[in-house]
Parts: sequence; C-alpha cells; structure tokens
Amino acid sequence: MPSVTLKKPEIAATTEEKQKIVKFFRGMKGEVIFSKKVNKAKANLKKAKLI
Amino acid sequence: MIPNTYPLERDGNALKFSFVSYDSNGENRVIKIIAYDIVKKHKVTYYNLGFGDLNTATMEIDDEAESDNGDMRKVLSTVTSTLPFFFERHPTKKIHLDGSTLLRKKYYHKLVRDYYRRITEHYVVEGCLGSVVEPFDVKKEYDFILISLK
Repeated sequence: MPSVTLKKPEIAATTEEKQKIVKFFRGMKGEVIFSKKVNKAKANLKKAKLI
Repeated sequence: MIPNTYPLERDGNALKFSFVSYDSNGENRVIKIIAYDIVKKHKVTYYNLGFGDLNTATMEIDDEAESDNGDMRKVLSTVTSTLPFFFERHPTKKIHLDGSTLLRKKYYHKLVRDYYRRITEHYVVEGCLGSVVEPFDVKKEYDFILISLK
C-alpha cells in the first residue's frame, strides 16, 4: 500500500482557520452533510409539497 | 499518487480531513473538508469520498462551490492523498466517487484517464453504469467510479 506523509506545509492553515476547522468538526454530529445532499432533500420535500 | 498536494490536517483518528486552498498569490483562502461516509447504491454499501468548501459563516459544507483558485488538480490530488488512510482502516471496502455537478463528474473521469496507469499500480478502478459494475474503461462515462485496494 502506498504511504502518505503529512508534510509540514509551506502555507499551512492559520491559527484562525485551524480554530474554525476544529469548531466545525466538534460541532458535527457524526456524518458530514454536504450541500448537494441537503438541496436534494429540500427538493424532494418541495416536490412532496411539505415545504 | 499525483505530486503537489496541499498539507492535510486530520480530525483525530477519524476519516475526516481538512486543508486550505489558495490562488497563485496565496490569497482567496478556502477551507476544504474531506469526509468518507457510507452510501448505498443499488443495495450495495460503499464509502463515498466527499469534499467541499467550509462556509465559515454557516459552518456548512458546500460541495458545489467554485472557488476559482485555478488549483483543481492540486485540490483533487490532495483529496486522493487521503486514500491510503481510508484503506488502512477498510482494506476490503470500495470507495464511491461521484461529481456533485456534471462538470466535476467529467473532470473526475478525465483525471482517472490521465493517471490511469499510476492509479492502477495500487488500486482497482471500476465504473458503474446503471446497476452494472465493470472494470473502468477509459472510453466510457460512468454514473460513478469505484476504487478499491489491489
């Protein structure tokens, strides 16, 4: 299996960006929900005239 | 697999990653999130490889956003650099790869075609059309692509 090294970045995430990333991951409950999935669900509800 | 990637950050031991994309001037910085989650297609369970831009105002992931940083190849290269982490945990499972837009879907196919020989040194690539899964044919456009460990 190929190996991947987590290299030290040239321009890494800034402290502020890192805080946002940590906040996002901590705020998540399990699955990461992507917008396409959300939009699809909304479209289905609209189709069913629930919203 | 493909050189030139952004540095990754991993969320603990989870199969969730982040990195920051930027334009050639180091500006327009966009936080990208990568996550592997279970998806069912034709009653078969795969792991979807998803990624998108973190909207830091709403804390939502937009997988249809266009950041226009001119670094699509580098972004995808970074995304695919997480494959070994996935297969380390799930060596017998298959990764589901699909574009959130038609353009992205076409781009993923192009990328697989361009790097087919290098990818297949380590991985098995299949394509799914309808409910038929077959070895990836570079001349075909599939509904989605499957990647597994050789």
